[in-house]
Amino acid sequence: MHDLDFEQVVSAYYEPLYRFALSLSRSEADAGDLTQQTFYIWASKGGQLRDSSKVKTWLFTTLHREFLGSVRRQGRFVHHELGSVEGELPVVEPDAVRRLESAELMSVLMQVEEPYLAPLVLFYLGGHSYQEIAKILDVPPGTVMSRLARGKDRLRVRLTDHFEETEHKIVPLPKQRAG
Amino acid sequence: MNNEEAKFILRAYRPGGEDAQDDAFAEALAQVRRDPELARWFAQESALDAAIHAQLATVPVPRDLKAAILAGRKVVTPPPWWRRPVSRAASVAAVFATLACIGFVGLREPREAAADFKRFNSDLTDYVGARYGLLFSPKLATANMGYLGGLGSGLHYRSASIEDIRHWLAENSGHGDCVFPARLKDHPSMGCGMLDWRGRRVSLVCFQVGPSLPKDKVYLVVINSTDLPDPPTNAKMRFKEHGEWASATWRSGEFVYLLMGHGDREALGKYF
Repeated sequence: MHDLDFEQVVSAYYEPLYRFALSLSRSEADAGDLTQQTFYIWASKGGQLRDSSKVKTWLFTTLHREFLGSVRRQGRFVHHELGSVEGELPVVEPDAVRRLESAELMSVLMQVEEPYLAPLVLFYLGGHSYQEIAKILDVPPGTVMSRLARGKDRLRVRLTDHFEETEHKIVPLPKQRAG
Repeated sequence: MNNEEAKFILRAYRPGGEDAQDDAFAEALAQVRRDPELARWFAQESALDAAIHAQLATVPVPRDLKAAILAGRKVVTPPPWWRRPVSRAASVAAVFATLACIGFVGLREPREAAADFKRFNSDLTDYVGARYGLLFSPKLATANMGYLGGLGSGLHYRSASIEDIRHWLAENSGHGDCVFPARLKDHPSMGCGMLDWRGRRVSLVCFQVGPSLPKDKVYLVVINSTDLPDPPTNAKMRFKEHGEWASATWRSGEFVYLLMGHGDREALGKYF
């Protein structure tokens, strides 16, 4: 099945995997490499996976491990544990989000700090359940719930900041005088 | 459960309703049905989640990424049959089949005929080219392939020291005692990695030969000559030009080498 379905597996998952990799690495070059590396490992070891329903989780788990491995090798892993978002959270309208370009939204999302970013990306981009996210990131399900809640708060704040900045960049033209 | 606890749990609830049957959400969902204020909050939250999900699903992916992944597939083969997990019935059948055939074919697994020098050359140039940014294949060489220039996680070990590279290769069953082209050693190494080419171990070393990356990268690939049924018989260099890049192959001692980089044969020849 593994040999026959390699292209099928690639077709089904390379896009969400790339987007996940992009959010983690914040670099298109590294995201491309991470995605390819994940399928390289799948080609080598994926045949050992008997349950086809676990392919998606397996691929995301592998990509996340590869990412952690690469940042450890480069010595650039910085873990920030931040305090909770203070004050009342701003309201973000879904229509305002729909008006954003997808790349613009992605760049705002990538401003969310770890350890909240990866669960958020898996939730929004991968469509994973909190239990799948727990397996992929190797953390308890309760921690995922907590990180999702806090991560969403942070994203809301970032989105509001972004909308305010964008608004201030639009300066109305002076009114033309009649006559 | 109060509303704050319900909100905490429901923020992990996927907007498509896939989690409706998950017991972890049952109590919070029941609270939503009882409390109109919580229901309003949940509707807003779900609408925002759905909008974010839909927008992010359209983040562009490099057009040729899939082609590059499929090209990389050539370098990896499934594990040999004796290492693959098999069912009990298949094992029994295999034992009988082996006993039946033992007098005819002998015990030794024949070497794969296709894994020859020519195949090594084409597979590795395709793979390294696609994966590491040498854009030579007309199918792959498009403006959108710039992302392949980044090394990212592509190399297993990074060091500018050739001695470190040798040490790492030796410790990882690679070709730590290979002979690098004399003038290539004047340039800093960027890193190295191990590949599995049709069950054979292949070492890959990357050098930075100028300031412009990814153009100024040169890759050296090394394989045991005994891993090829028809290795080159002497040290004579064979060059090949492919548009903006070139490759050179040769044999030295027990290893076969493949060098790849941008430029023509003259540009590549200056490393020897």
